[in-house]
Amino acid sequence: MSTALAIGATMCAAGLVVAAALGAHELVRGGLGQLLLLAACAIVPLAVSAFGLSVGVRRSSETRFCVSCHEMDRYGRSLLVDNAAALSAVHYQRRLIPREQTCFACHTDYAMFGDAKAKLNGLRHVWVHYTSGPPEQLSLYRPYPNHNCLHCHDGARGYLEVALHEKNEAALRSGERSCLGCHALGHDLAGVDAGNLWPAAGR
Amino acid sequence: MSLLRRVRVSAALVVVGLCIQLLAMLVFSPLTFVLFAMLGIPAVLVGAASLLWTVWRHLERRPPAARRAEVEP
Repeated sequence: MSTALAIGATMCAAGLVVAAALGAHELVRGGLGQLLLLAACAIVPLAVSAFGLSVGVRRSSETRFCVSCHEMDRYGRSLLVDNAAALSAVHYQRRLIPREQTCFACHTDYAMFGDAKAKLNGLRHVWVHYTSGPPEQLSLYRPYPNHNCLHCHDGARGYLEVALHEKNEAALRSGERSCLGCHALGHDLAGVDAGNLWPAAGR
Repeated sequence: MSLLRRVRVSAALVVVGLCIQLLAMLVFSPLTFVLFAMLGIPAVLVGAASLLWTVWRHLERRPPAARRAEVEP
C-alpha cells in the first residue's frame, strides 16, 4: 500500500517538476511565481524523496529482500531447518520474531543508530558483491553482541530460570562472555545441505 | 548562465533523481535500492539546493524599486 503510494507520489512530483520547468519563463517573473517554482521543484520532490526513502528502508528490512541475494540463499533456508539447537530456525519457526523481518530482527543493533548501521553494512555487502565478490566463508563484521539477545530475552522467564544465566549475568552483560559461547549454532547450514528441513515448511 | 537556464538545469536534475527513485521502487532489489540512496536522493537534493540558491540570489539582486513595484498597486 505504502509502496503504491510512494510510486504515485513520485510520478506526480516528477510531472509537477516538468510542468514547472516548462512554465518557468512565466514563473520566474513574479515573487509568487518563484515561490510556486520552489514548491514544485524543491519542496515537493524533497518531501516525496523522504517518503520514498522511508518506504525503501522498510522494504529493505524484509526477509525476502535479504534472501534475494544468492549468497543468502542457504541462510534463508536455514530458517526452515528441523533442528531445535539452531537459533535462527527456532526463532523463525516458533515465531519469536516477526517473520517478515526475520533477518533484520536479529542482525540490527538495538541502540541509537542501530538501524542506520545495519543499512550501512548492507550497503557494504552490495559493494563487496559487485567489486571483489563474496568471500568463501561469510562472517559477521564483528562478534555478535549480547545486547541484541538480551534486548528480548532479558527478564523473560525462560531466560531467568536457567541457573547458568544468573551465574554469568555480569559477564554476559559486559560482553566478556558471548551468548554464542553456549548457543553456538546460529544457522545450521549443514542441515540445509543435508535437506533436513521442517516437514511443514512446504505447506 | 541565465536565470531561466539555471532553473531548468536544476529542475532536470530533480527529475532525473525522481526517475531513478521511481525505477528503484518499481524494480526493488538490493542494487536498485543502493541506486535509490546513492544517486536518486543526492540528485534531488542537489537540484533542489541549486534551485533554492538560484531563486534566492535572483531575489537578492533585484533592485528595491522592482520589489516595491510588485507590492504597490
